[in-house]
Amino acid sequence: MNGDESVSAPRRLVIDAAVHPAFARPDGIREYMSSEWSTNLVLPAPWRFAYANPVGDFRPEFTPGEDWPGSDRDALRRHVLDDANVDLAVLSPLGRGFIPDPEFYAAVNTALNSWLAREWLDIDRRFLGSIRVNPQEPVAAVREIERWAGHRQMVQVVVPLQSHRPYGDRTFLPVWEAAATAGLPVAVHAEIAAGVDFWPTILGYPEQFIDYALMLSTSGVLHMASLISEGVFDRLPELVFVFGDGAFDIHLPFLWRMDKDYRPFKIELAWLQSTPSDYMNRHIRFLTHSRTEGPRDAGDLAEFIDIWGGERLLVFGSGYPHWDYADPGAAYATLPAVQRDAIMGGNAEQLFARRLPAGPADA
Amino acid sequence: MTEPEQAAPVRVGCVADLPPGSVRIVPVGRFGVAVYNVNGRFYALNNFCPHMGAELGRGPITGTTVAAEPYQRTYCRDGEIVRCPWHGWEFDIKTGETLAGRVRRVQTFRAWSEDGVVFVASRPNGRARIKDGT
Repeated sequence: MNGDESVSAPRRLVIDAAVHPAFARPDGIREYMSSEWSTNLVLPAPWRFAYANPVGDFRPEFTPGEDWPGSDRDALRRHVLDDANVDLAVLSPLGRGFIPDPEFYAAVNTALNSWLAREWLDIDRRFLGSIRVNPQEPVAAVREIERWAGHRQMVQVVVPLQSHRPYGDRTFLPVWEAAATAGLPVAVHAEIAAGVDFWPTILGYPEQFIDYALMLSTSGVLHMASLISEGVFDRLPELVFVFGDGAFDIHLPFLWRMDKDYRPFKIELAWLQSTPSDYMNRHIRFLTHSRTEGPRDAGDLAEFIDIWGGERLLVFGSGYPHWDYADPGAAYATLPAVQRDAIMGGNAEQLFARRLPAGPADA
Repeated sequence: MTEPEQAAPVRVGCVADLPPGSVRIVPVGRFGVAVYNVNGRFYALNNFCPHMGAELGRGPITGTTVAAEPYQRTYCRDGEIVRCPWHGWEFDIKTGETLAGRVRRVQTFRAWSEDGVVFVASRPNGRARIKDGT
């Protein structure tokens, strides 16, 4: 168990599963859109108009000049990979929010994915990509997943956390089927752009940013419950969902309740083969939420991660270059090596195993 | 008729008074025993839900739902399931097992008819397995 004895053992991969590159200028995306979309039509801004973050959305040290944070490839590569001793980075650029015209929305996603492949994935094999789709419009979403399914560096499908309906709803099933067919997990991230806004929280409109940010995590666990109860994983036994935005720290009490209620209400869920928590363990993972959640005391934190299943469920993501960026060198540094290795790379390695290059990355 | 270690059987009543789909609670053991007629055969369960101790014999006799795939719900096994009157856990009357997760099993007793009279054993069949406390 002592880490000192395993000096000669190969170093575990370190994977940053949440990096958010951006266009240097928001309008740069037009270069990747065909003229019927890029001419005349106004794109929603890539930031929120309401619930502005009072300390700013980005870390100042990653915001050197006029260009958008996360847009300088060399700087990003240095910050995220080389300086941080990270082997692989999963890039998931944020979109332009929910656009009511589904074809316009699809064109934005296609442009985003094309840009990611050409400007980022093609220049460094250590960059892994995300296929951004709008699940509210399954036909276009399936088309987009199929377009990129053969790309070796595209390791996941990404959808917004915000939704009109919980993701177990049958209308979304074709999208999850396409992801499962391609062997890709589905990552769920909050969108921060200024498209048509859904209710920002399940209770409607809070007044302050802190409430807005806090309540995002509840949407994650409600999606999780819906995916389990609607039998999505009974239909798609290989599918895995990864939730960003801090659902890990509250998921377990929800599951305790759900397991308990499963017994009296099983007649509603006749298709489930076991308890909801069994499904969660097989099909759900959580991104670390930038700042380390949990008890501050190191011993308590290890115990919390143990009870909460973090060694199996947590996947590190730095959130670069956002304000709540977590330095991979410091994150979870006090945890026992077994827990930390799993969170910082082992779990992501399993999650993306079907797409990762064979063997550890070049030392 | 009875195994050597078994205590004397208890008379439940006339077969005619316990038709299929019915239950009768008889004073056997600490909590009583619920004797069921399922399609002409007799089964008996401890009248004590292993979850929190409700009188299982007062729960509705029903069936359950199964599904070959999500949303394809089918109702089946009508008359073979008892739902606990408190929290709705389903038990298989024939085996005493819970249907959800098989976390616990309710004690079963042997029950039979003889010359138009229903009897139940006064000792349970073996020991109920209790795996955990969820």
